[in-house]
Amino acid sequence: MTDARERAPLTRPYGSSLAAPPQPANLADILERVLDKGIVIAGDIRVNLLDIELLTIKIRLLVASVDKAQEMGIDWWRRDPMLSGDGDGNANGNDERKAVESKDE
Amino acid sequence: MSESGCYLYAIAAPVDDGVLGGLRGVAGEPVRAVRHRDLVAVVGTVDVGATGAFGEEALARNLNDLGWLEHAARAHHAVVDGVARAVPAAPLRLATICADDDGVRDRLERWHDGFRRALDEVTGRAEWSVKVFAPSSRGPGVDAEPAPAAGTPGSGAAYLIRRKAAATARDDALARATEVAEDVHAELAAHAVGARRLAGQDQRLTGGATPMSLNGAYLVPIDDSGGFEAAVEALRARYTDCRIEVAGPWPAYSFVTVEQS
Repeated sequence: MTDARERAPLTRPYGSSLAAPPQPANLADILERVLDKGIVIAGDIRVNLLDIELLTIKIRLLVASVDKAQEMGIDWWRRDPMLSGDGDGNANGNDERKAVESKDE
Repeated sequence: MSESGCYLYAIAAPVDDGVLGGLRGVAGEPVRAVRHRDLVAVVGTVDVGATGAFGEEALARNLNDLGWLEHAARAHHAVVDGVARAVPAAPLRLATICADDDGVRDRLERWHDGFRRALDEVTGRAEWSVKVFAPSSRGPGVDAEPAPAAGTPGSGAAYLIRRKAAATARDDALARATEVAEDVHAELAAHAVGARRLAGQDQRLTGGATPMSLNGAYLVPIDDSGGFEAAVEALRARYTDCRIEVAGPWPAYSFVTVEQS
């Protein structure tokens, strides 16, 4: 599969060869991705020590969404290093996010 | 009092203003590119002041409002998707907010290499979601039949036997779905450059009639999209008893990461 990667020019966007218009994704899929996936700027905490308000917003965001999420059977926050209470919140240990090369399970 | 913050949607390759011009962000705001070196951050300006929707208190309240959360999540996704369809883009998590453009540029500089690698990984590729749902367990219809009238000889035992049979049928359906999930995931992983099993979504969330046994995310080269979809179709034909859902292409949410240097 590495040859596919070499074939792909660096400037290639994902929509360029797709005729299909954007399709509406279901809410669960969107929430799962925008709340739990995507780039986490790993040094957020360290940087935000200089920027306390932003850090606070992020933590509040995650905590605030717990009640509703729990009602829906979502428990992502349990895996969030920022909320697990184990120290400095450094996201490095979270191999859930070291995704690309390793095929999980 | 209003106070502006810089809300980040995605890290991307330089993108035309024409693309961004058609997009509106989580606060209905126009989005723009903050450029630094060979990368841009796609951002919008939101109100993080005491009275703003993204102010600390309001945000806490708003996020407990599922309607608001849904709107914000969909708007976030729409911007990321719009950008990713035009240029290689790596999504950021909901509500990543910097103080100002300088804060954004500071992050682009600080994590440049990580962002660059993340972008390179997803360039020319898109994420697909494939889900497997358990077959419906067609055991004896316990619920469809009224419980026998008390005192009817033998009918209580028959009712219990039907209940047990129904429970067994459900267990069998789950075991079958688990097996199918393994096969589907292995097969699709072979058609992808990246594959992950996400946590199964709760039935209350999916509204599905049966449990989800696979919530797979696959990073697929654009050129192989057709092959991937054909593989899904083949799996559907092979496992007609399980419902198999496919969705995509999406921005590569599940396949971006930035390691702290």
